[in-house]
Amino acid sequence: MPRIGFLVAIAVIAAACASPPAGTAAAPFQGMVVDPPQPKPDFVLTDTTGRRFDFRADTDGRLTLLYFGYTYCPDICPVQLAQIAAVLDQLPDVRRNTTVVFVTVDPERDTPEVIRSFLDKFDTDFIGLTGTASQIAAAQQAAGLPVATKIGDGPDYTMGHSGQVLAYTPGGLMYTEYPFGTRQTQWASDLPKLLER
Amino acid sequence: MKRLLVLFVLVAAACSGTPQGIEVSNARVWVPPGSTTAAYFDLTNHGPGDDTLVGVESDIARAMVHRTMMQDGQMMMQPAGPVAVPVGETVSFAPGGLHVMLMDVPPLGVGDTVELRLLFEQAGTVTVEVPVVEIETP
Repeated sequence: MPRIGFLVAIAVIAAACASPPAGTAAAPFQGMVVDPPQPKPDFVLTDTTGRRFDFRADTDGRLTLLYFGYTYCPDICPVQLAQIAAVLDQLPDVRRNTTVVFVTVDPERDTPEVIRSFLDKFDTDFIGLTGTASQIAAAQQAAGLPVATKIGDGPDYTMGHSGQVLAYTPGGLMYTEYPFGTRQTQWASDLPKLLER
Repeated sequence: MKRLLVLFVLVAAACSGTPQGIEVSNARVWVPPGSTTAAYFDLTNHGPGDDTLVGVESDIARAMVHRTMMQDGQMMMQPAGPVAVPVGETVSFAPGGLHVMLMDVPPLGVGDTVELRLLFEQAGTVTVEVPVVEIETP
């Protein structure tokens, strides 16, 4: 009899171990969860070749990573872009189905040539977008972000801007965003799952 | 006897191996993706007193001590002003926080070095040869 009790105890423990801890099914992502998921924003800007880029239409059906930054930024922007480039290098299947879009918040200094040269240091497939100040402000608002602000005067001004990368699934929804400080392992865990949505 | 004591104190100080002043460790400059880049390091103050970093100079670029911080949902980067390095403590310059912003940098690659002169109120000028490394992707 005690033996049966022991077996039951083993079975109970095994069952407990087999099921995922409470909460994991609801939050399978390691990025910051956006609840409710947000639709892909609708905005049109110009890419580094001078072509019109319709963000929603031209990224349709693809996992899309959207980042607003500027090339004069030495500390946050390069890390976010280098992280994405590094993780996509590890995940060729994800890479094939992913579009990375960098929108400058500093059109004054970031000419299309400057943006292209900057992005090429990370990945030549990254898309760079610019526009007028009001178009870029509208794009940030469409994405639900505060509009970047200029800090300081003279040639060395900087820009206060949202540091997170927004991720839109092929289905066109943002379930997660990735603030500065997101680690490779977190990116690598989330991107394949996002691709399935 | 007094002379012997002085000698003893001198020898003890020389042999103790305790470093004095400001130690700069873990210094690196990121390969610049554009016209700017950042330098990071740890500053340890081994004494004898508190010190303050008041500026940084470089011959190859304009240099400024900046601090990135989160404010109203935005990442803001601003001149940091003087940076206190209290005795016995280590102040880390790290991505997303304190850094030296280098502006108008020439193209640099891994293996290059950049000389930085760190200007301290007490320790004076501390010169470091900083290696250029790939942007960190932790």
